[in-house]
Amino acid sequence: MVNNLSGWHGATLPRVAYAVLWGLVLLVLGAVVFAGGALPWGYLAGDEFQRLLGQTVLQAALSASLSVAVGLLLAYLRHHADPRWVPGGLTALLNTVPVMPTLVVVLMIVAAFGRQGWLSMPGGLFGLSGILLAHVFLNAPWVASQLALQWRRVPVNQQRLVVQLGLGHWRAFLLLLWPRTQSLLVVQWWLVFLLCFTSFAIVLVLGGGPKWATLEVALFQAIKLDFDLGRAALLALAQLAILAPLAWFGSKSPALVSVDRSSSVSVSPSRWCALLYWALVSAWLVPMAALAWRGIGAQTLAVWSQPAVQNAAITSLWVGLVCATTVVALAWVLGQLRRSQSPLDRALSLSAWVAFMLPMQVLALGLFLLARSGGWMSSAVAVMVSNVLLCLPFVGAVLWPAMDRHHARSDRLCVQWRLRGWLRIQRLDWPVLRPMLVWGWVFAFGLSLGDFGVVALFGSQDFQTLPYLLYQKLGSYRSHDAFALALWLWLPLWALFAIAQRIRSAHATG
Amino acid sequence: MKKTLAMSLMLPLAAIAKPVLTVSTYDAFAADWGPAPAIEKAFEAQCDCDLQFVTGESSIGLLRKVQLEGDSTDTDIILGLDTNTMELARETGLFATHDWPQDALELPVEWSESTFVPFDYSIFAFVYQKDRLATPPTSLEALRSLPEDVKFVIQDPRSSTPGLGLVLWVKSVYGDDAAQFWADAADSILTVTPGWSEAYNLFLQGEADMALSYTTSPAYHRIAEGDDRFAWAPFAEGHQGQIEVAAALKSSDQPALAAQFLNFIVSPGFQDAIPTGNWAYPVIAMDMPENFDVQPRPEPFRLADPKRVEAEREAVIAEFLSAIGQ
Repeated sequence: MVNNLSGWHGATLPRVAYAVLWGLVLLVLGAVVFAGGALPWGYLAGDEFQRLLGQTVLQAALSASLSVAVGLLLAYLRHHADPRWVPGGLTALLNTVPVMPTLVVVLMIVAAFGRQGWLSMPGGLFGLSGILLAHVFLNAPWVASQLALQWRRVPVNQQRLVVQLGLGHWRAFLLLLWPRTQSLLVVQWWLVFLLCFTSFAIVLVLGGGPKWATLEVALFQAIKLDFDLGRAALLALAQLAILAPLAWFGSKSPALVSVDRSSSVSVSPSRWCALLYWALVSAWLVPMAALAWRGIGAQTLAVWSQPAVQNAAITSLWVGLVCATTVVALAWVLGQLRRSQSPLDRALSLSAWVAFMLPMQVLALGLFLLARSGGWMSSAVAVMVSNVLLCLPFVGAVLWPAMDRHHARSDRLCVQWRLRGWLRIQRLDWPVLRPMLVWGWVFAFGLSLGDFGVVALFGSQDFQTLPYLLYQKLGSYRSHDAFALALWLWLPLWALFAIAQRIRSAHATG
Repeated sequence: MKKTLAMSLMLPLAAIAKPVLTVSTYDAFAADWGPAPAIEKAFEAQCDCDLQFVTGESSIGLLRKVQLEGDSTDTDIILGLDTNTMELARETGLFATHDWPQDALELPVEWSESTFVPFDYSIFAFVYQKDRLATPPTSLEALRSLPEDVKFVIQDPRSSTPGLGLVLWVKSVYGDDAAQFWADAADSILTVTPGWSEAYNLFLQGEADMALSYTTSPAYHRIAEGDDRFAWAPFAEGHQGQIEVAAALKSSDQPALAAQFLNFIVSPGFQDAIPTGNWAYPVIAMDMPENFDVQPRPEPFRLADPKRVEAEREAVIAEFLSAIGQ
């Protein structure tokens, strides 16, 4: 099928890109395995590993199911809410949640749902309930935004028909939206599952003790405390073996309906849904208010007089710019290969999920070992590589279905018109895909600012990002400064998401 | 690295020739508000060298990083190991011995050691806010039977220095009954965090009544923030402490400079930066900043024998984890 279609940019470039990704995975794994020497296979049969694995799977499955359910509810209420009651900035605000630094999210949640909070949880926050709450808090807005994107594509004539038949919201939902929802929910479930499977700080802090520790904690122990690199490599391999089949599943594109004459107007706007939407969203607004409350004060502006903050802001800015641009370009190149039906190409595409399958700590360790033997990797490069890998599945999840739809409609046309290469990109691909590319860029930009997993191992005085500085301040009594920095990370992201949202909406209705 | 490169391009040749001493330390030490900037200035004034700090997230992380780098490491000195990780470090065989002025030390415990030079010490304690907790516990024993609404937060001994300190503290007081202690105290433990930051911020937010921290924490709030509501709870059994140490690597290409720095550690030039820079106690006799020692230091404090820590750590941690209901 690939060869019959000459309307696209060819399979060579994406195949090379995937091969490079796979090469990187194998190099990283190889470096860790080589450094570790013999792999202690017996560890996998031990009680400790089995118990950790069982609990990790249970926790991740519960977190994913709840996140998807709450995400669906959010999207449903938003879709049916009277738009006059729901400002666009609110949705953009929710979109910022998944890219916030984890420890800030934890402290926000504790401030709102802890014993001092406005939404204090009966029976206490700490324990499995706290972990689930935090995972839903982080992931449900993402699921909701993916659903909203999908539902925009309901053809107007079908919506009109439903109104004429006088069907209620629920019947209309089952008839119009649900068929477009199922496959997407499955993919989102896997995505959230993978994220929660590798959760570290949240499960430890909110778990009320080490009870719900994930494999990440065992890895930490192997690498830092016991310096047993063999066990670390084994854990990474085990995780890869467990998650790769799931990622295979997740890499399937949701079966999208190809009709795309869209309208963002919902069937019959309801004030009740708007009211319920606000009630549900308050679970996000209250923690955000708590953050704002802590971040606003004399220190809000004063932090900028510190040279460390200025330098970190500049570093973060260019790390974010380079990462986001790279990841969007990479996702676009990789997405080209999705037209191919060959099993080999499908296997290659698994590496898009590599950051979720390979534990971050092992990735960092592997990059560090490679840097040591090659001397070619600086902290900046390692941070870029890990950030790009981390963002790729998210950007892909948004961009690739849109590319599939676009390709299905335009490839034949391009063959007829002999539209190829740059001309095709300029005239056809860019105008159509721009909203997704912009949205993916903003998301990747935010996520690269928020993550600092790899910096710790490579750390030097000269390379500090804002989140790194934020954690440093939390770690030396300077919480006021830290919350001010969190605010400064958050507000620009909100603005960027609002802009991305606007571009996307304009596109959807146009 | 980049900065050095850029600077070396701009500076005249004579400046490039300045030898570089690379000290690997944890990030709070090297932070702008930490003791490193003052120490760098004081040492460079006497060494005609360029003192550079590289950072890692934790003291154990520093050691692992140097181990991974092997002989290719740029690090000359590791600063930030402690008495609980010292033997682990010694076993790697990476560290050199030095003659340094041990008689300059004024520590509450005996210290005779040619590899590891102490640079400060701290004492673990539960910190509380006087206006929020009227009757703090007065002993470890009291932690077993706290009122139901009093919660404290501690750190995981696998990933945190104070966390390991507390587990050793309990072990040295209770011995074979340590598991029972943890089982009894479990109900009052709000949560066990991976690091000090999470625990202390949960306490600051009012989520926990006490956090395992250091006896110097109240001094920070008093001196830096003018807030004297914070205090630490003195325990009848005595307090566990840790001594932080520095050591030079055998692989260093600046052994003379490294030796000079180790000597400098036990001098006022270095020690002056410790109390309000690292919020810890200095290792030589000196005048303390005003308001630093409002509550008398618990002396002598308990210090786990480094060799025993190394032998027993795994078992003690496993006992803790299973007792609090892993």
